[in-house]
Amino acid sequence: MSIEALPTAPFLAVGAAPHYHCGTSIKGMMRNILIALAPAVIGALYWYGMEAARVMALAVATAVVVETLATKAMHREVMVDDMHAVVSGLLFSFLLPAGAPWWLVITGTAVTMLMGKMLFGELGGSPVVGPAVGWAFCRVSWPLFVDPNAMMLNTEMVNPLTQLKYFGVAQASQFGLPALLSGNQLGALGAAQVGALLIGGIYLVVRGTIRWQIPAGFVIGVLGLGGLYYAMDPTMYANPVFHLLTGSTMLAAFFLMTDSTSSPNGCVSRLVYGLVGGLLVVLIRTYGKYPDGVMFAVLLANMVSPLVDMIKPKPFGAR
Amino acid sequence: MSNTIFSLTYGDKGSFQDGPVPAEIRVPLAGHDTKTVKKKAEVAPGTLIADHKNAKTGNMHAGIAGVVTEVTADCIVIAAQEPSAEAAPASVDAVDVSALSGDALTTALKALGVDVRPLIKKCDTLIINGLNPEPGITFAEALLGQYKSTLEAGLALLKKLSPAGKMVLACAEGSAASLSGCTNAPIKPVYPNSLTEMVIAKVSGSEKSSGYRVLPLHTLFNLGLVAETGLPLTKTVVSVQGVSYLVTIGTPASAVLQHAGHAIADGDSIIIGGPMRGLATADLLRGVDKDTEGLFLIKKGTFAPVTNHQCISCGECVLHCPSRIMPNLISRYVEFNDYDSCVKESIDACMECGLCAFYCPARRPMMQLIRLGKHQIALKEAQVSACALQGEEGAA
Ligand code: SF4
Ligand code: SF4
Repeated sequence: MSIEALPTAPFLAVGAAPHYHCGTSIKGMMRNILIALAPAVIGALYWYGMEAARVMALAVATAVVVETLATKAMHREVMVDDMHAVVSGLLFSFLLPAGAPWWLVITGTAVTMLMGKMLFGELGGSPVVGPAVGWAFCRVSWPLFVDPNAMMLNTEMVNPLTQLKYFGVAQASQFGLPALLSGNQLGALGAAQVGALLIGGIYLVVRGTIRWQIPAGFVIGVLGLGGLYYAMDPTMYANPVFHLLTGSTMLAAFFLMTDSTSSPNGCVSRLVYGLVGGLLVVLIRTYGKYPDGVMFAVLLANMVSPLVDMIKPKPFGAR
Repeated sequence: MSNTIFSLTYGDKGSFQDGPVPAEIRVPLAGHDTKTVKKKAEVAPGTLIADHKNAKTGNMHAGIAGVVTEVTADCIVIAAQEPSAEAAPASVDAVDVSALSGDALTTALKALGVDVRPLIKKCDTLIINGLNPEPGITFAEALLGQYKSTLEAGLALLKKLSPAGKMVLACAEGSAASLSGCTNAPIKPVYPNSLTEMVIAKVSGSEKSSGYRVLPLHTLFNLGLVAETGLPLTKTVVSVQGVSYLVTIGTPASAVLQHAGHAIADGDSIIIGGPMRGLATADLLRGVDKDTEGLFLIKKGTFAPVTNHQCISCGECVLHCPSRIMPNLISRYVEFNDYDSCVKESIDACMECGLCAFYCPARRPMMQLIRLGKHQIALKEAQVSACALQGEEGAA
C-alpha cells in the first residue's frame, strides 16, 4: 500500500449539528399551500370570472409590495421570496366578495400584512392570523363592502348563511350537498369553494405541511356543537353539516387555523385549539349578529393558543 | 423519508477494511501534560508519546514508525519514516493483561492507552450498547458478528473492572447477537433509540431508573483490541460514510476520507462523529481520536445552510422531540439569555439527539442553542457553588 499525500487546499464549511436536514423549508411550505389553494382559485374564477381574478391579483400584488416596503423601512433583510406574502394576500382575497372595490382590497391587504405580520417583525412573530385581522378590520370599518350580499347584486346565487340568519332553517335547507361543495353558493370568492378547499386541505395533510389535529378538532367542534343544537330542535337550528359547508368554515379549518405562527405546537393542544375554534363558529353563528362568525372565531382561538400550549406532556424522565 | 434515514440496522458488512497508511499522524491530546517525546525523536509503533497525570486516563502512543515533527498542547505530529538502523527505538513488548486484576490491571490499561474511567463507574447494571450509535455508522453488526472474540476479550476485562452486578447487551430487535454473561435486551433499531437515555429507558422499562450505565460498543472494542494483543491502543474502527475501516489513531480525517474514495472540495463539510451529534471540523488534518466512531463528508449544497431566521412555530421540533420538551421555546430563551426559563422548561431533559433541528423548516440551530444554554447554566451553577464555598470559608 502506498503512503498517501496530505492535502491542505480545500476550505471546509462548518456548521452546527445536526448536519443532516429533512429538506423542508419555509418556501417549500408556502409553495405547498399555494398548490393546495389552486383548486379554489380555479373555482373562484369559474363562479365569479374576471371579478375574482382582479381581486386576487390585486391582493397578492399589494401584499408583496407592502411587505417589501415594510421590511425596507425597518432596515431588515427583505424575505418576500419565501412567498408568505403571496399566501397571505391570496388568503385575504379569499375572504372578500368578488365585487369588492379596489381601495378595499388594497387597504385590507395592507392591514393584513402590517398588523398581521410586519408589526411583529418577520414571519413567526404574529400571534394572530394576518388575513383574519385584515378581514375583521374591513368588516368593522366598511361592513357593506365586505358583505357578499351587498356587493354581488348582479348574481343569481344565494348566500346560505344569510338565508339561515334572516329566513330560518327551512330556507337554509334548500341547499343541496353538491351545490354547497361545488361552490354554487354566494359567499366570499375563495371561501365559498368548499369542495376545492377540502381537496387542497387534504393535500396539505398528506404532504405533511399541516398536521391533522387542528382541522380535525375544528371540524369536530363545528359538527359537535352544531349537532347538539340540531338534536335539540331541528326546526330552529341548522344541520351541522350545513355549518361545515358554508361561509369560511372550510377555509379556516385547513388554511387559517393552521397558520403555523398563531397556532399551538403540541398534539393535544392543537386538538383543543381546533375544538375551541369550531365551537366558537357555531356559537357566533347562533347567537352573534354576524351571519358568518368564522373569522372572529379564528381570532378568538388565536387568543387562547398560548393558553392551550400549556397542555404539554411531562418531559423525559419525569414519568 | 424519516424512517429509512433513521434506521440503525445495516446488516453485517463483513470485516473492516484497512485504513490508510498515513504519511503523517496527528495524535490528538486531551490534557495529556507530560509529553514523553521531544521534537525529532524517533518513535516505533506503540512508543509512549504522552502521559496523562490522571491515573485513569489513557496514555497516547505513536501508531506508526517515524519521527516527531511537532509537539503542541493538543496534538503530537509524527511523520512516517523508516526506522534508521542504529537509533531505532525498541519495539514495545506485549503485556499480558488477562493475568492482572485490581489496581495493577487499571494501571496496565492506562499505560496501554485505555480510558479506564467509563469502565469502573459505579452502577448496578452495565448496559453494552450494541446498536449503531447514529444513522450512517455501521460497524455494530460486524462487531457483534465476526469481531465477537475481540469483544469477549474486552468483556472479560470489563467484568473484572466494573462494579456492576449485572450486564446487559442492548441489541437490535431480531438480532442473534449475544455476549457471554450478558442478558439480551432487544431495542427497536431506530434513531434516537441508541442514545444513552433511551437505551436505559428501554432496558429498564422506566425513564426514571437509576443505577444503570451504558457503555458504547466502540469502547468495548477498543478494550478488546488491547486485551487481545497486549499492545498499546493505536487503531480503532471508524465508519467512513458507512464503510468501516480500521484506522491508525491520529490519521488526518482528510487522509481517511480520500483513502475511502471521497474527494474533498471547497465548501464541503467533514463531520467527526455522527451526522446528528458530531462535530464539523475546519481542520482537514484533524486526527482520528480513540473515540471517533464515524467520519462523514457532506458535499457543498446538500443541505440548506443553518440560518438565524425566527422560529415560525410550526411545531415540528416539538412533535419530534424524544424528550418531549419544546426546543423552539427553549432555544428562544437561550437567545435572550433567559436561563431560568430554560430550566423551567426542562432544558436538562434534552438528550441532544438533533432531531429538532433536523426537522426545522426555518433551519434554526436549536440543538446548538440548547447545548449553549446548558453550558451557560453549568457555568453559572459552578460560580454559585464556588461563591457558597467561599462564603463558608469566610464564616469559619
Ligand atoms: S436535541 Fe432537540 S429533539 Fe433532541 S432531545 Fe434535545 S430538544 Fe429534543
Ligand atoms: S421546527 Fe423550527 S420553525 Fe418549527 S417550531 Fe420548531 S424551531 Fe420553530
